[in-house]
Amino acid sequence: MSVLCPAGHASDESDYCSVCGVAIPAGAVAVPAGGGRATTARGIAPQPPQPAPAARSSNGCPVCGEPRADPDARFCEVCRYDFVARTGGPPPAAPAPPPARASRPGAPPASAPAPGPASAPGPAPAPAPAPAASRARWLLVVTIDPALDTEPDPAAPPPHEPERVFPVEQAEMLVGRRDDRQNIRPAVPLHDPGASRRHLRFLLENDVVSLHDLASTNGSKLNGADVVSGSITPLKEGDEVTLGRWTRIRLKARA
Amino acid sequence: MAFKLEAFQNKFLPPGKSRVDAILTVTADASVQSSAAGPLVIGFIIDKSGSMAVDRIKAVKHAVATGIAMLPPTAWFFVVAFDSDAQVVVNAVDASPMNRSGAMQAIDRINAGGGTAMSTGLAAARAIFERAPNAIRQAIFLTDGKNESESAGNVTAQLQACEGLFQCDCWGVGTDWRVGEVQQIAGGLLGKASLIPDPAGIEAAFRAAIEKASSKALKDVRLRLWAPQGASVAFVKQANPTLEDLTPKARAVTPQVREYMTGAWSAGESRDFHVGIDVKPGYVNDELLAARPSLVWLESEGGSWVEKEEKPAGARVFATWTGDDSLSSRIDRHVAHYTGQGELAAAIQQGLDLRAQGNEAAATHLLGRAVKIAHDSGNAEMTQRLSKVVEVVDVATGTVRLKRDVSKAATMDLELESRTTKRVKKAAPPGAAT
Repeated sequence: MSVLCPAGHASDESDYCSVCGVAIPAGAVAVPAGGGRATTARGIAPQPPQPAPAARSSNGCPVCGEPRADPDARFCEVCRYDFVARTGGPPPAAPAPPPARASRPGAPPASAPAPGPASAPGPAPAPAPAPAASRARWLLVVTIDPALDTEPDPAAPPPHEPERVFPVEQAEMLVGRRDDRQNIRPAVPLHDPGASRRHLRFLLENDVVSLHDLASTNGSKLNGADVVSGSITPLKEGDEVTLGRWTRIRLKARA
Repeated sequence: MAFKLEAFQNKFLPPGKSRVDAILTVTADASVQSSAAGPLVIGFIIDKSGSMAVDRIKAVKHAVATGIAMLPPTAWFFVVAFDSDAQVVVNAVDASPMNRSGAMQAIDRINAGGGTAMSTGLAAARAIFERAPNAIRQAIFLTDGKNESESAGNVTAQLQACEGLFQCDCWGVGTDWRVGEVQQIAGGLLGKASLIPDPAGIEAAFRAAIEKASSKALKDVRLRLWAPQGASVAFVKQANPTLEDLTPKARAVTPQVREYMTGAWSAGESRDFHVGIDVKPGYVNDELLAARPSLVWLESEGGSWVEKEEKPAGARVFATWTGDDSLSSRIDRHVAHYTGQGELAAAIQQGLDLRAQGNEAAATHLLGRAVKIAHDSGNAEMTQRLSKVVEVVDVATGTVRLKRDVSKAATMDLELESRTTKRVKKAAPPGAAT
């Protein structure tokens, strides 16, 4: 009988990990003997909590079920599973506890992209208002609301951006900050330093739009309430998702 | 609870630092019964070379006879005598009255003569001890001369074969032997080397040795040390009662667990160990278990030997990285004390070496430093021994003058005892130990 240490080792000791020596919190998950994972790079860095395993897809990530972004992509974009080395990701045996929202770092990442919709050329979906040809029933209305910014920084004010409308036409639409170097090109690119690159996604199934937070660093709120990371919540007309420092996304049914 | 284990350390490290120092104090329970450890086998390994003739061999024979007479009836004993070759005078027998008297007669027939080849005596004793795996195995080694009839490599090789098989306390009679040679044997076999200036003192020394051996109650005791993945054990030293580097004697149990043989322990016996672990440097506020010490020994249970382990939770060694210099710059006083005792031993040994080479200025400086450390750490015995070799002008600053007419025995005694340490003074300021 062993317990799982925060770095993912199966520890024979219940106080400090018998592999890496890191402290094991009370109530750690028990794992069958031999269920340990390979060590992390530093061996002692605790892993951040991971979203609960979603439906496992045969050609997607074996840990969290996320489809492989690109046939050549080495890492799963949700849980960082390494498709080549077949390691990483959260330990399969561990049902992940709901992450503690309070422990999340509040400061946004420093690598915010330059604001302005014109700075995002390339194959990303055009952030233009919905063309008349689109027959999608649902629309996502993205606005920048400086009133959401709890810690306004005069040096980096919110960009002036008109309201953007995206039709929900795909089975899933990624929302986040675009990063060309990491080849992350969300269907709904945000200009918000407080948003994660892969922040959340909207899923369209049987004409119902659902919200799936992808374990984003700073989390998301649905109608002002915290969204449990990794959970999938069906949305209805008029629901509002707020995230990052100033982004507000409203779900609107086409009139 | 056969052992009590305490760790003393300052667990706070500045960012980027990786060395964790700790003193482990191990105390055997005073109520342990010696019967659980199995019978005692005592081996006398004595020098019968030509130089031992007349007075010394007579004193040795008398001392061995006295020692055998003192043995508890449950003990076993044997006698090996060596010159340039070894001879088993009395093979291992139990200490029954008949065997004792038979042994006395055999001992009486020993005649001094020939060269000195210490490894032969060790080899003969080893052959006998190998047949007693279930006993507490203690040897008493006595010589009076230099190991002249063989190369030094023979002893080194033989010691490797004997290591862990038996413990050996060594005595040199007179002053015609080399401290280094005898100390090598004692150090390799977890024993102590001492000087007997006059043959008349042999009996008292043997008496003390047998008393000590008879009190052993815990057998094949090993200090076991777990270290985290990626960490390395920089050193493990016995710090008290004597300084002994155990680092090269490590035996790997698993890739992360090493153990160090410490021999047999008496009830109530206490020893200190100084361990140094190099862990992977962490970031501020990281906490890591740097070492988990435990003690392992053999106990007889229903006719077979069972390995027991004591792993007290209170004796863990930690590393916690902090940005607060006032926390990380403190040195635990136990660690500081034994670091000082190690420096004291080194200063004495180097000082005596330099003095022998005629470098008086450097020798005076080092021995003066030794006087100061001995005084500061309250090691009165060492101060007293040092004062036989140097004239102390000022203790506080370590100002000394080399004495002119120093007896060879005083120098040898100082060299032998330089590794004997003093324990940390009890007066602990509250909260000093972490």
